[in-house]
Amino acid sequence: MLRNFFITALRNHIRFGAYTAISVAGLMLGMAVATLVFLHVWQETHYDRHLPDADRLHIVELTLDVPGRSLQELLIAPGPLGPAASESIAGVEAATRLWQAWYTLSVGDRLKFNHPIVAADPNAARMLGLDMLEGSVDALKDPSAVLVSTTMAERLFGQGPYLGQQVSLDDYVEVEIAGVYADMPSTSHLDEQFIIALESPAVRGRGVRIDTDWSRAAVYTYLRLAPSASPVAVGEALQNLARQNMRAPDGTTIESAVAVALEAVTDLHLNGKTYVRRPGETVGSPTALVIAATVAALVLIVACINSINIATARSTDRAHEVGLRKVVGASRWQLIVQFLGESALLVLLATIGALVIAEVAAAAVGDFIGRELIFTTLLQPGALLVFFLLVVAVVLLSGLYPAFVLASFKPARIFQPVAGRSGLSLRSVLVVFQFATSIALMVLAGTVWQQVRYLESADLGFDRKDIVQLPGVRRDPAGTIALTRRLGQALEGRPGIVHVSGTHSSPSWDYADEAQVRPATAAADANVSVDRLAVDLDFFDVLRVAPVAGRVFDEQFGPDRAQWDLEARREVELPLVVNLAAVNSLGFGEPNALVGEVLRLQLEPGYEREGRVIGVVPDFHFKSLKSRIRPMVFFPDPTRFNVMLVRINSSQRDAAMTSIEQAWQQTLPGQAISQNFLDRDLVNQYVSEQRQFSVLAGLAGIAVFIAMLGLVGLLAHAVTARRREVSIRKVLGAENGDVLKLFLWQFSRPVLIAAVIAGPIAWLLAERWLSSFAYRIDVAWWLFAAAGGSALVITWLLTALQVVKVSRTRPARVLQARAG
Amino acid sequence: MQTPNELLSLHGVSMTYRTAAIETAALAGIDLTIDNGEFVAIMGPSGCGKSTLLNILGMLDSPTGGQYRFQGQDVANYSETALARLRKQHVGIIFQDFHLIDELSVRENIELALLYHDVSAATRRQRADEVMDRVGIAHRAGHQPGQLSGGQQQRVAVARALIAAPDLILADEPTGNLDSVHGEEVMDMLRGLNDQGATIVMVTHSPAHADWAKRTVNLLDGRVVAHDIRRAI
Repeated sequence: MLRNFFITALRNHIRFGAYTAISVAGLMLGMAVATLVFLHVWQETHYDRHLPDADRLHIVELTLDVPGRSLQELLIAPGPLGPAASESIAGVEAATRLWQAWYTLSVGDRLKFNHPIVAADPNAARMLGLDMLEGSVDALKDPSAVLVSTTMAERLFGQGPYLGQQVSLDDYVEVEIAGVYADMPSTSHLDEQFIIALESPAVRGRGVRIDTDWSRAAVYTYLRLAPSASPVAVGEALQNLARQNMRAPDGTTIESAVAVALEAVTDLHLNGKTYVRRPGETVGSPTALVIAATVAALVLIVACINSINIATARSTDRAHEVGLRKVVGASRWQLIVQFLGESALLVLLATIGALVIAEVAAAAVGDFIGRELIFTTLLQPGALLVFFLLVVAVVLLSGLYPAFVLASFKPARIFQPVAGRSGLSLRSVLVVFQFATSIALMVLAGTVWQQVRYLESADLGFDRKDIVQLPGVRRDPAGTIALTRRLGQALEGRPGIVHVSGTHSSPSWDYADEAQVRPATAAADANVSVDRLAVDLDFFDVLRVAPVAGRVFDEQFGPDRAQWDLEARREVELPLVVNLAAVNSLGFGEPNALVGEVLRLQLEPGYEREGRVIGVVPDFHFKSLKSRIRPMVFFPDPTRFNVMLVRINSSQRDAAMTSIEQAWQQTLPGQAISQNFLDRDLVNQYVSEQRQFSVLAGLAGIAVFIAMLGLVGLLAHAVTARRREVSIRKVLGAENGDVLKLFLWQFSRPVLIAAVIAGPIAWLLAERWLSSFAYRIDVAWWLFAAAGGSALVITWLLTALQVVKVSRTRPARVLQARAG
Repeated sequence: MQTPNELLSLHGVSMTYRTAAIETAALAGIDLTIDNGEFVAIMGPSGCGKSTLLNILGMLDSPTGGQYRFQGQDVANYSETALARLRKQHVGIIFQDFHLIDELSVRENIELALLYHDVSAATRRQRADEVMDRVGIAHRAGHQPGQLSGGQQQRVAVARALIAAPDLILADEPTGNLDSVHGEEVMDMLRGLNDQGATIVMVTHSPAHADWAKRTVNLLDGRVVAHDIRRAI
């Protein structure tokens, strides 16, 4: 019996090859999308499971809620907290700490580059499960040892040998490779390449006192809990420990401001607020996963609908077989099983194709979405089971309804030549669903595209072009002043260099410190929260921002440059430039009214300075367009410069780049230069939005394609099924145009209904997506017209193609063939 | 050579079907003239080319050879579109198995024949009412074809053939799917139409039904083998 079913199924699929091909092609694409999205979702939700005792491994999360300042949620904690916890808290089995910083790595004169490295406790290699290929897992007990990943080892020493090789850090500390470990899996929040000991002189050389400094959150602290320990209870004990010991820099307790909790390491990727180590990687986003899974499910449903529609449309072709089987005694259930079996065969075929597509596409799609997609993840038992269930779901979704329809034919009715139009209404509903999905996805992709274009090209209020950023100039206060001064002087006057300014933060970093500000004459509770930025005198010249009142900083005014003198600067009045938003929030109606006023700035809790406003600049987007422009105060403070901004002459680009290179080498011999164009980095701020667009556009395209495939199948069937009607109409005088109109209307109707349904839904979703941006476009009406219009035009084209095919046959022959 | 009363004439009309392997001659040199107001029955055994001839007369197919003159125009080489326009103006066709559209009502089926003419909806309604009265099917106007008997369905088909007031009515075995009582009814109706001046060409197997016509043309193997002219009674 099975053999009989199988043979009938196969013969049927072969006999109606084109229809079967359409079903399978749609399902294959749908399953390929589903497979890739499934891989992605599985990986995103299964980060860090490879770590030893992953379920017991937690990271300390520190929340600082200092009154008057915005909430800070940190995954770093004061250095002494970890060791104190493992000594005094019962549930803590072990603790290990990682301290991260950028260093210049060099190998003799041969190789030199900047790279982030970590310094770790000796037990870190074991607790974090490093897969040692060479050397000892306990090597970090030696302060001069370094463990490197295979990638780093190859970068430093090619084919090796590696053990015992020397690497120089910042040109003054030598470390020796004591171990090489396999690269950490991409499904880990950790991506460390170069691990030195916390005891290393290189750490001490940066002036960090990790083992004693309770005032500064500095290290990632991992705790392995005892199997029975409660993370909540341990978190409370940690909080007590932190509150007893932590101090503000001025020595005051900050007890109530500190909250400590434990975050499971396996939750870190999806819920971790700021923990991103890999360059270019974005944090996991549950919302993005839900969106991706939903859209993939929609695409898959669109593909299943193809199968359902083609199967039910063709049901009349198979009515005779059903009738005969029933006449010879087949039960309804046997027939349902038979037809489900046929669907299963199709889905199986499609799944095999989909897996091949997914395997081939995994790498490219991974690049697209900024994650490595590892095809073999599917082979993990859990993933395999879920994937199998997905396939079964697709079989049921695509096969159950047609099986019931086919199996329910009454043998007596079947042998009468009644034109079968059963299931038409459901079929139309399903087609409407397909088109609504396609149109909504097109609108959403279009909206994301427009917003991305807006983000990338909006007028930010300053000239973003031809500015080079040189990060890595921060030292201790005196060192930063000296270094930025020397670098500035080395740059000035060289070919192609227009202006140079140090600054605490760059417009592409989406970051500024906070301060509390009030007019000096106002009461202390009149404080307004503002963004503050330490800048050099040429800052506004570099950005080409002109004041709307007063002046900006200038060399010719003594007090402006006086801030470069660490001794004298406390005595000199601090000059302030504010933006228009600050004028408003400080309650001055008009920019000129604020010029000359004295403001009190609270820079840290308990640390205030006075300054006089010398000018007001227009509001410009110092931070990303995702947040509103905040009131902002600029003042010269060379101790806080992190980055130099260099405006170059666009017509002397090459000369300018050479100048920058030379000035850097002259000022910082031995340190590698990292230079980036500001406009490029500004665009890179929106990389996750660009990815969302790519993914949505790709999926929308696939959904449209699958829906169109189904439409071709339905059209072909409808045109064949209505051949007789068409012939009668033609006998009665209908011309090809009239026949075309008939089908155009039949197939335009679902598209039009779909557009009407998809419109409001897409609008709501687009509005919702856009609402996360402080600065955004309006949803464009023409996107709806374009999406609906293109669906309609494609439908018309496909319809015309099919109708042209039938209209070539002479009506007499069709009618005769039937009569005969 | 065109007589003043001639509606159409065929001269040496042939029709050859080609498939990959063989060539079949369905018609081989037909000469036939039909005048306005005639009632012609075409008879012959299965496969003699009756239906092919009717399709050519109805401009549903073009002959592969010879000349076909309809109301003085040589239409043998007309394009499909031109034939379609001529057909809807001048020809009404009745089929053996009715060829009604199952999804449309009786009235809609009948009006269909005017749908592709430049006629207003009101005129269509009015003309449909007229022809439905004429064939006695007005009480069934709202029914679907599936709800009617075979005889009633053929009346609908006749009404549909009449509605555009064609110069020529072609009937392809109009009684072939009907029992004898209904068959007689349809023949009676065709005869009545002919009496009112309609030109009718009918293909039939039945000598009895052929007797209703004023002239019989016998076909065998694609050729006219006999003309049998009777006087109108």
